[in-house]
Amino acid sequence: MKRKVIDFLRASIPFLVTLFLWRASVAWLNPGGLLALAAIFFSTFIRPVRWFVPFGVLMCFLIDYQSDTLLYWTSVYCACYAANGFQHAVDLTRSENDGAGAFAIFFATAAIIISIPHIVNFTNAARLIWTIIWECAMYFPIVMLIKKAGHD
Amino acid sequence: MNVALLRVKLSPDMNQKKLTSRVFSLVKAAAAAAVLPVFFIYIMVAKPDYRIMNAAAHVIVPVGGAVGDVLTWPFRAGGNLIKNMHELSGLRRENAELRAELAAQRARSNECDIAILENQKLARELDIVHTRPATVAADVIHDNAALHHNTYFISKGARDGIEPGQVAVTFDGWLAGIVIDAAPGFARVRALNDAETNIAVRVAGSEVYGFMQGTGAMRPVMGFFSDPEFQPDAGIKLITSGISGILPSGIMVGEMENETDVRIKSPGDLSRVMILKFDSTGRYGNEKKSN
Repeated sequence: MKRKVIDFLRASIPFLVTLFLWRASVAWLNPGGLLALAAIFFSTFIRPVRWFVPFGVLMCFLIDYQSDTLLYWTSVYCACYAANGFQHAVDLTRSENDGAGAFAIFFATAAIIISIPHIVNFTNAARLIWTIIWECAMYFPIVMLIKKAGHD
Repeated sequence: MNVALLRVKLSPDMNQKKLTSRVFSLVKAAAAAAVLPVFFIYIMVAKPDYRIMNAAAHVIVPVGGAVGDVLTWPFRAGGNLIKNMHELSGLRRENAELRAELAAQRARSNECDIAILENQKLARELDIVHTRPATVAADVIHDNAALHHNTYFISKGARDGIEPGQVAVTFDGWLAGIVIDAAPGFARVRALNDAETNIAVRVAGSEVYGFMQGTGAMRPVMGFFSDPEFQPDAGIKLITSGISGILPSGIMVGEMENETDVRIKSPGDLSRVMILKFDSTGRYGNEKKSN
């Protein structure tokens, strides 16, 4: 019984971490719960977790609702999933540094695209740069937490 | 020999599995790709109220929020404890400041009472009937400050008669946002510093009008003033203009900090708000509109 509970908790860690990061949204450190994207990216593309993709779509939808971005992050996630599934050239599951480079490209591109209409002053530009740097830096501890919990 | 036989026997099975897995992953990728045009068409067609999307959110957000609240509880409790201790340390100084402020306000109170009575007398003489919209008090339950967008959730929703387009004000009468979506048990309010905010305001005590626009940063900015000779200065108070009737007129919106920036009540300052059940025919939601 105890073993089953531990196994269940271990399997549910990527889901719980994602939900936690979405809910723990703070203006400058986790705007709109965007840090959850790190867990979503890792659990979808780098170390795929069973049944995570529908959950990832749901979480992107929640991020969109919280961030008031319509279906932007959901669309970006679906587009990346489709692009990754159609191609053979790059195997993200074998990428170095747990796919940190791929995540940086994914997040920075998406964040810059959505920010283009809003870069009307220095504050917004600085905030965008800060968010990208912070998000990419936080990718490592988030990934480490998921890996440690799953004994990867 | 045995190993070689085993290899020969297993090989087709493995290839089959590999092929099935590849086909399955292609099907999943195709499904994800197929969703994109559906999203695109929906966004184009459902503008501006996005009913299906909001209806889905009204179910998913409370469920996700409840689980998320359980997960984040220890951190929120710790944060609240630190915040309370910090507040407690400054309480004595704040008390002294409030006492001084109260004395000053009492001195001004008589002047205000006289002005109110005079105002009532003039209103009676001119047959002006002041109607005040009904109000609902609500707690701010979550600050959704995001990249360039600032909304927040309040604890009251459609069950309490809250509808998109109604106005959130603070208890001291400052405009705090506009309701953009109402679920049965909660509502989402667009803050004044949201990038989509665009409000027609009037300079208090004058006939100068202007537009205040949110930029996604802390402070919204004034777009322009109706009088080109008007010189905006720090300390100027801005109120809602009521030009098109979408917002009630005369609500304090903010105070100019310099020539462009406006100090407002941002979601971080709020713990409770009042929703004015303002009977508007227009909508203030997902499209840029002015009042």
